[in-house]
Amino acid sequence: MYKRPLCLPDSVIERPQKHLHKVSGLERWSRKIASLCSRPIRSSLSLYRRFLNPIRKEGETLYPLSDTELYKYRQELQQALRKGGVSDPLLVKSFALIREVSGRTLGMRHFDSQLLGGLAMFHGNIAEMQTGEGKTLTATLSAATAAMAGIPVHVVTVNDYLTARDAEEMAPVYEALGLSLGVIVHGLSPQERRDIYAKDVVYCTNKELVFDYLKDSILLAGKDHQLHRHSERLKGNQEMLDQLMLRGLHFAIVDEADSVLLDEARTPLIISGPEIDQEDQLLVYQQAMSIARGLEKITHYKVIAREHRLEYTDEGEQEVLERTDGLGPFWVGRVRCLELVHQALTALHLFDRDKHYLVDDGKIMIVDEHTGRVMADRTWERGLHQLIEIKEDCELSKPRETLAKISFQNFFRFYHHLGGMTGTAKEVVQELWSVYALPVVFIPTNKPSARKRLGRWVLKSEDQKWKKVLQRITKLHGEGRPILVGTHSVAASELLSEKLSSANIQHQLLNAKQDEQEAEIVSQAGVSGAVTIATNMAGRGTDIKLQDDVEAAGGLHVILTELHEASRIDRQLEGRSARQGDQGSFEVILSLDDTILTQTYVNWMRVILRLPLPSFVIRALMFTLMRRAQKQLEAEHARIRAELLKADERQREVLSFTSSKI
Amino acid sequence: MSASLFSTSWYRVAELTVRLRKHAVIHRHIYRGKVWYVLQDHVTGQFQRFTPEAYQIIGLMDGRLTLQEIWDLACIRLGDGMPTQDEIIQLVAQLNKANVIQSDILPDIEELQTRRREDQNKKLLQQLKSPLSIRIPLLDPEPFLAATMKYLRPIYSWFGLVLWLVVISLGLTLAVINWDGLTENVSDRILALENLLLIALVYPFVKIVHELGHAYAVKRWGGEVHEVGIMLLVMFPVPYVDASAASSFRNKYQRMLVGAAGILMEVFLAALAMIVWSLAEPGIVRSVAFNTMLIGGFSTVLFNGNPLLRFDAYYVLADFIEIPNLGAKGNAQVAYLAKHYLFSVPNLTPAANSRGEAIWLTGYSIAAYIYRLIVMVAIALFVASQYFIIGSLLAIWSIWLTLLMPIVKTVTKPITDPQLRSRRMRIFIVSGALFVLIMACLFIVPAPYKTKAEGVLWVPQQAYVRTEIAGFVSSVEAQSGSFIEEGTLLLTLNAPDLAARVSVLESQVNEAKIRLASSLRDRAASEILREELQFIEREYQRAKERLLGVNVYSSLAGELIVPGSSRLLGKYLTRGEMIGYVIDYKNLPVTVLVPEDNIDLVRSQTRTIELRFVATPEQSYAGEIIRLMPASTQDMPSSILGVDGGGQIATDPQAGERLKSFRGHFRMDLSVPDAPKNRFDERVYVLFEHDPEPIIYRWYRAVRRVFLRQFDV
Repeated sequence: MYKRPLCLPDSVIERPQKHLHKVSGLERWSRKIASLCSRPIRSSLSLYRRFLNPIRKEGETLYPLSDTELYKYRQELQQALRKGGVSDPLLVKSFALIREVSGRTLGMRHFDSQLLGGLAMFHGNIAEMQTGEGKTLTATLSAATAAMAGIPVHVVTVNDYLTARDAEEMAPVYEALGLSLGVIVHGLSPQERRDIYAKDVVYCTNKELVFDYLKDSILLAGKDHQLHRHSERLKGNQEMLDQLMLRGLHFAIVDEADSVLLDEARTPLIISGPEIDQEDQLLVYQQAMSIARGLEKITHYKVIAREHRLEYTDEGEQEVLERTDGLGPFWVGRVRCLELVHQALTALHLFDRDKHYLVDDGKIMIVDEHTGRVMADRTWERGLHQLIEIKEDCELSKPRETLAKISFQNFFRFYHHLGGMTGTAKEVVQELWSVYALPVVFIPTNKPSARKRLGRWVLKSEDQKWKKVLQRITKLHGEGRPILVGTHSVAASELLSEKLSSANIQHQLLNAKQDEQEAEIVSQAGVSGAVTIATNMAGRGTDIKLQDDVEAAGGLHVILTELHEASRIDRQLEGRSARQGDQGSFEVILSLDDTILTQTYVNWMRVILRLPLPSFVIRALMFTLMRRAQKQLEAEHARIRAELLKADERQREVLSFTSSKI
Repeated sequence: MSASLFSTSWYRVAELTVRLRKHAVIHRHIYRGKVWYVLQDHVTGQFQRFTPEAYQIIGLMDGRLTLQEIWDLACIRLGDGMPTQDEIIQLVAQLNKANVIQSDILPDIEELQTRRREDQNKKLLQQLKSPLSIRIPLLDPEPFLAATMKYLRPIYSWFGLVLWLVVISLGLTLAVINWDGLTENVSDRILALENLLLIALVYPFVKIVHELGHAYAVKRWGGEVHEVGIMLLVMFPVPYVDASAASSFRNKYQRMLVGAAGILMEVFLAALAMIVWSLAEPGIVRSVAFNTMLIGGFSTVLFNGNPLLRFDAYYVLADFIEIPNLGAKGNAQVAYLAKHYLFSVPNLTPAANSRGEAIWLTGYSIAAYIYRLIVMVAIALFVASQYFIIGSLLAIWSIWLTLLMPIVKTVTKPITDPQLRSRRMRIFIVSGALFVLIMACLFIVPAPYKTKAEGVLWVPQQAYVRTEIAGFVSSVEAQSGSFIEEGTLLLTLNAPDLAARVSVLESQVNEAKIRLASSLRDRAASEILREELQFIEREYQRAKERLLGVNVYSSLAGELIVPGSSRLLGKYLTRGEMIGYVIDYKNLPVTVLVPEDNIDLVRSQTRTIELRFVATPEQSYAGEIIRLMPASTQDMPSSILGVDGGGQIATDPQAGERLKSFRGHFRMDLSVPDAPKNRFDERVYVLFEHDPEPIIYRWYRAVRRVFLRQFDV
């Protein structure tokens, strides 16, 4: 009934990770049936609530203990945990101890809701805790318990800023518990990483973790089995073993689980090899680009923007074949010619500057569409990067060769034990279960939320929308409330910034271009009268601390100017206001020009606008349709993810003859 | 852009060097004018078919070139037909799965093990999926075949063919000559208990010869046979051999011959048995010969000789039209047609490579489906009637797998198949519409409902005019065709012998009287003579009464019909001979036998009754029920309703002389006032029209009836 992490060998040689085998036929059915019974049980709160009283009671006995007595208590507990694994009574003791230690070092004792969250995660669930419920503190419970039992723990967060912040905040707790804490952020050397990964609890970003795993995998190509590694050790190949970093995938606690496990699961993480010098290849790209520029929309190709895809017409295919005829030795074969020009068209029409990428200092920087952050050192594959460079007249980078690649979807399934937390999992319960076999436990809030919704508007055009936004900002700004305006893209945030500047409203801008000052901007955002424009960078994990007088004025106000491709992202942004029982409000201002709407929806909505109905009915209808469009998009994305997973599985099977598994 | 040239996984295979393993042999085949390369794995006995393009690439796998180099080379060599990287990966994976390649990396034992287990599971699953044909491999016959081949080689030659033809034609001739003897009371002979025992003894022998026929044919052209076993076909054991090695034969006629060898052998055996049968005296030898003929000539041709079933003839046909895997490809082609035309899914490649192939595939697939439908239902009913619960489950399982599953798959596929998803709306609308249409036809639309039966224009016994005595016609009193009253004198006979007998008896009476009178004194003699007188008097009276029969009267009113009345005068008629009929056409009923199953409907729901006479089928008449016998009967009013008389009703063979139907019928009389009745004892087709009713109720009743009859549930 209780699924708990197990103590497994933890060396770079053993490097345990879950073996994924293809589940098919009867096995799949039996699992489905079993899961029908097990999931509701595992995700029910009562299963975890029964620990609350014992933990509180145990806490009462701990409270009067002196530090030395507590130290002794800890040592005994640790020994017991290492000896016999995590049992019910030991779990209670451990949680009570961590709570007590946290109270003594940080001055924060875990609330019941946090204890529940910790219990849920420890037992291999996703804990859905409302935004601002103190997830960072919650994570210490499961992480420290597992670490005390000798299980290496990875606490996975979404970016360097959050990783460093969380680790720093929680360090005293781990220190007091006698556990070593490591932080993996960008820019560490392999040796440093290896040492950090050897610590009991490691805070890391998802990408760093996966890249380190990939680097290990490259070293381990063909030596996939632990026996291979043992043989390397016997052969005296210490050099190679010394380069390995991870001690296996034991237990991971994933912060913002829905984002990491689902939204970002689609993009594979790739390690590229050295640059390959291919002058003639670059020439070919230039040729492709010039041909693509010569083609006409509609006659030669169709752009299906919503599906992010592009199609030739018959005429277009002919045209391309004619134009590529006799261009050179590379332009051989129909498929190859079409494909190259297709790639060039994609670069031209499906990738937009300041939305999908930034041009910074003559270099293309990819913007992560989920986090709104720049992804350094990332390149697109198969010449797309070079083609976009040609499009933006940047200096051409040289293509790199892929060495290893994995998606989050696959990586996190390798963990023997996986737990997670997020503020928004409601919409993806099914998917989390079907992909990762993770049930979602809904943790009640500690204090009731005081967040107010001030309005929902759907306006006819983008111009009207910005006017309305400006109007609202001016009004609330006058009231002295801090305002956070969420925009969908870098370009939109800059547009709004310009408008605010011309209206003489002082504001700060947080987008992929300003990510160095992120911490500073966030710390300023809670000041009375502050206006902050942010892409969804300011979503997950951003904790905007309010100034004391702001609370009285009504707290932070959030304006959403566009629905994102998942309502979870909207909810994250809304969740920046009214945290932990604070005052706060949000409103939604949209327009018919928003990208999530298909033409069909726009047509319908125009019809609705003309209907002789009371305006509040029309507003409600319009907003419902907006949400509906969003839902459809979400479903579409979920389907694509499911397909990708299937394709991955199939591909893995197909590629089972190769040496490496990654 | 459907397929991309580059693969995101290419980096994992680019540096791999692979080569074909030694035990894999490639044969060049030609199918429907196109070159294919068939790769035979001598270890597993598996075959893979490759296009020339794939063959080129496989040819480059020599263990020296990396896949990257192979791909680069292939792109240059094949030009427009260049493979995508994914295709290369697929190809290598396929070869790897078939265990025919070796690469420069250490083989992963775990993976090999998994693959082996998966293969085993797959085989097991295959068996589970077709519970009505389970294969149990027994042994490897190769050494035995190799040792004995030299004795049988002469048979697989022109000489063998000639011998075969001679024996077969001899057998056929004898069969034609002895046809009556062969077919006399067949069902009795076959199903008699001791004969069933004989069949059980002969059967394995015949089947073993059949399988050896296949096996030696494979050996004859250099193949190897490594598996024989027993297949449980509908729970009935049948031997089989694995003759798949024949797939490597380049000559399609050789492949066909391997497939046909079993049947040829059995037919040969049957012909030999025919010869023995015709020569032997009745007895055990003759019975054995008869049964051999039955199995070899009849059942084999019916089962194995049917290309719609996956038996020998199927493979022969597939080889003949050069479409291997005919069944699966046929289904794929039908699926393609449905997707293409019904759902208009773009960018599909048909399973067929040419127009001719398309016709073959579609035709075969549809014919086989319909045939399977019929056979499955028959088998299901048969099995279920033998072992009710297990049988029913088995039957449902196999009907589900073979008939319904393909349909369900086609319907649910749009949800999972990305290709179809873009057309999801249309697919759901079209298939939904089709479904609704079919359902509406079944459940809602009332279809005309009729019951067919056969009847006869029936003349009651009293209407026959018969003579009571023998004699010459002396006068004809009533004309044929005239309307007469009851009791009318029809004709008089002249019966001289009877008249003479009357006068003789009269004289004898007188004599007896006189002798009685003269014997008054002798009491004893007097008593004897009195007795004698009484006896003679009675004789005399009887003769006189019979003499009255010279006048023939009609017992009914109606029209007199005397066939050949003009030649009647002076004709000698034997006693009881029928002279003609007195028929009241107006009231002449049509007697119909309605099967028990339908009587309720006929009785309670008949709207109109339509009749058609055999002689004038273009003309229909309305009828009306006048009499209905409340009890079921097996008696038949006329022999023409029986199968022997050309009708539909099966007669009971065990009833002997009397005419009885096999099943119970209800007899009803119909009046047909309008019909011109010139003949009687004529068969009449009767159509009872009921209230229109959706078809599904009818089916339900029929199924229910079958269940009641067969399983008592």
